[in-house]
Amino acid sequence: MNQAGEKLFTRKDAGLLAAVLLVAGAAALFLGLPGRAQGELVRITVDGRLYGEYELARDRNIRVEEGTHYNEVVIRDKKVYVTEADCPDRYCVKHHEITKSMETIVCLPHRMVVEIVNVGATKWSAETDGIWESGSHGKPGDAGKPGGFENIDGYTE
Amino acid sequence: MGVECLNPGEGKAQKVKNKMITTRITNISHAFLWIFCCLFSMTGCSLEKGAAGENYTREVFAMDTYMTLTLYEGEAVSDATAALDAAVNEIERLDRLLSTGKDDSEVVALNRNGGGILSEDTRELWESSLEIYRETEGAFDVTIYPVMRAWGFAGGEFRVPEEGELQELTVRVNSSLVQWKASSGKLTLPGQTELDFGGIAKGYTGRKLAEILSSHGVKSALLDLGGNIQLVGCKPDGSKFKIAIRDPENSADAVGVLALEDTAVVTSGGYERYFEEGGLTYHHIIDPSTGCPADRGLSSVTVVCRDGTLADGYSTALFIMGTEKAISFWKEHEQIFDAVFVTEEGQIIVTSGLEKCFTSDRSYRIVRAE
Repeated sequence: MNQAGEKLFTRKDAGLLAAVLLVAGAAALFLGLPGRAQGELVRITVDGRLYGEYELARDRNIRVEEGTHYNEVVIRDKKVYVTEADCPDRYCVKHHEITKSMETIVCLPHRMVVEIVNVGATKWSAETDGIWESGSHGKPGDAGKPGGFENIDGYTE
Repeated sequence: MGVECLNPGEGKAQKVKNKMITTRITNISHAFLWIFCCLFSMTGCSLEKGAAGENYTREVFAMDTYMTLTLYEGEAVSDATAALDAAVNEIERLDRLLSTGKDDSEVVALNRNGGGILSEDTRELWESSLEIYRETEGAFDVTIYPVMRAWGFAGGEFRVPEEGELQELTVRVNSSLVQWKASSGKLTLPGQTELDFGGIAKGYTGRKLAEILSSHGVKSALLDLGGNIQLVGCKPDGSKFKIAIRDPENSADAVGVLALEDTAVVTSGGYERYFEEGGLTYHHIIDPSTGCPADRGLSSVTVVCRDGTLADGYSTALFIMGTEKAISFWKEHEQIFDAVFVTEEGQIIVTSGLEKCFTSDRSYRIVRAE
């Protein structure tokens, strides 16, 4: 297609190429791909907005503050629980610790949801039925196995 | 070629468009730009829930609970989005209509005005409520609202009401005192009687959502309305959904798993909403006959019924009735629903219709109608 005499690769192209690669690299880093952490993450959302994602394997305390409200979320020994909150019902504090994907702690008054998600398994895996189907994620026989049951699609409670 | 380009047939048009782009690439920088664009659009897709071969989920805070709607793979993206939009609109519409916490809701207006002409939805809810009230001999009663409020379970702060206060309030809890003219749709509440459809609203909503999703061509969905489950069809591979029943004694565990399709599954238990005072635990399932938390030996009741409204109402009523009465009620209605009971002693009782659907690593008993 190129006419005779026209350079295939000009200096301008090289500059543009470098810029494009730089932006692409930055975007990939920013979006967390392809180097995004694999495995189980603790995802906290407030009223549907992402508040933060944290490694389940790394102990830490997260003070989720929205306006004048707060919930103190703790990640310890691969377990997640809420130790303190100023919500009226405090169901989030009473909630059992969560350890596997598909489990959630919800604070209704603050519209806060703490959930464990398995990032590595949410995509690209042909065996995955879907991100809420915990049994197909994580270590085999580990996630979504209450009382020895596998491949749970939902809970009634 | 030109004619084909004008055709709006999506797949074809996309291919043609790609080909045109390819032929237009006349130098390398454009090629890299193109690759970059592709890369970018791919990363965008992967971050969204519900790319091809995935499920589509939507989370909603409504009706005083957290809901997760999941459409299973196999639907086209645009269709799934439209179906989920319609479902969320329906949830919000019903929430606005039925909420006791929203000043402009129909239910608030009915309670304030001592009645009124019922809309289509409240009419259906009231008629279902009345039917369940009669069938369960008052174990399920939507006029319980003033008592719920006294305990702080309907907004406000948790407190243990005094005996005199409860006696006064329970006198007004009686659906049979409500005047209802089906022909005109006019409902009249006796003095100080108030309604709250909270006991069946989620079940009713689940049923409505299933209808809406089906009308959008959805064949496989799991709707979790705060632990009230509504299933649409079965899973895309033809297998049944596996729904775990939460262990009332240890909420990290499950008492068993039900394999089900195209039905509603609703559990009532005292372990989800409760408060503690003076070393005692008070849960939110109030017995209309006493005005106090139901205490007849059951920790949880799970009802499986094709009609979500009934599943919701029955699960509450059976919890209040207690084991023996609940089992005899099931025997009279075995064609309509099935149930799993967990007693305070940890006994698991499963009605015979679920014999083939229920699995557990614990021992359980099957009850039969005869």
